[in-house]
Amino acid sequence: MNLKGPLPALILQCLSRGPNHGYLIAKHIKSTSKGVLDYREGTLYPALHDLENKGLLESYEQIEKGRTRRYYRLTRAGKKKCAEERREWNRFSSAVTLVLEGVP
Amino acid sequence: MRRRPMSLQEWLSIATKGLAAEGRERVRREIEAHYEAAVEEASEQGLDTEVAQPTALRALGDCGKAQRRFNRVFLTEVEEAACKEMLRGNGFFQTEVGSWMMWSCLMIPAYTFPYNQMFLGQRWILPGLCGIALFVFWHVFSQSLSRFLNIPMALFAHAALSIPLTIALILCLLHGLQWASLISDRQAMVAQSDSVFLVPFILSPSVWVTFRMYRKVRGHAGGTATT
Repeated sequence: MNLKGPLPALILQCLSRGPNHGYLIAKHIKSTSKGVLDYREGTLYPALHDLENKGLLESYEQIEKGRTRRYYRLTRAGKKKCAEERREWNRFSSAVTLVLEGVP
Repeated sequence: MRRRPMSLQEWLSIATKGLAAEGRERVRREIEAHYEAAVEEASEQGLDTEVAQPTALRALGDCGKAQRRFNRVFLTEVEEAACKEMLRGNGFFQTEVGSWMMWSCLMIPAYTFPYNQMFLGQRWILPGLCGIALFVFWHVFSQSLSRFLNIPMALFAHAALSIPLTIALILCLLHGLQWASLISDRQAMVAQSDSVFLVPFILSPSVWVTFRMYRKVRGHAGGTATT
């Protein structure tokens, strides 16, 4: 399954636990969603760069096992946005659940 | 006949096509590191390298779609060339100020000058001289400005300058202004200036494109820290 819509929110949530690089972000999203959300790298990296352009993330390079890795971390605006997105998603998903369950 | 499977380098060359050198290099480094980590992990899980590599490559997704997405968030070659041109020598003046300023320098005195003032027996000489003086001032000012600007600042300045300057230009176009008609019927021209409210609709695409480029450049410049 490849759902692009909530990807920025998922990235922000993933990085709220601390800085990480693209590979581990993708892996974390996939494993936490039990394989349902499997984002392609061609989708993930543009989303990361877009969030960086918007000032929600910042990145830095770090050498790890002889390999240069680009780590991403949340900025202050990113932390605020992350909380906002979570609130909005909870509101949205509970509304959809209510409709699907047919609550009058 | 079976097609030869795509290599990582081929995938990258398509996905990064059209990007400026710095962005292309950054994407290349990130995707290569991602690919290597995926192959390494698959090998550790006992998967043969010959199987692990194509699997990791498939996980990258469609290179054409990736190219379109990267082009949206990174500065492209064309945009980079435009930014550089803007800063080169007379470029800032030519691209950002010159064409707009030429109109507004001629328009500002035309709108504001007291036309009952005669000079050398003619009404148009004083506002004309004033317009030329303003034009020369802006030329010198923008030339000096371009020496101190970097690309993000130049883009920001472009967007900020575009608004008043385009208003002047649009006013000029809407009214079909000519010196002679303006001088003879200045009050009527000023009364028609309500049409200035059309300007945001005409101007918004240009400002949107500029701010989009500005955001790309700013994000790009901010992502170079190394530890």
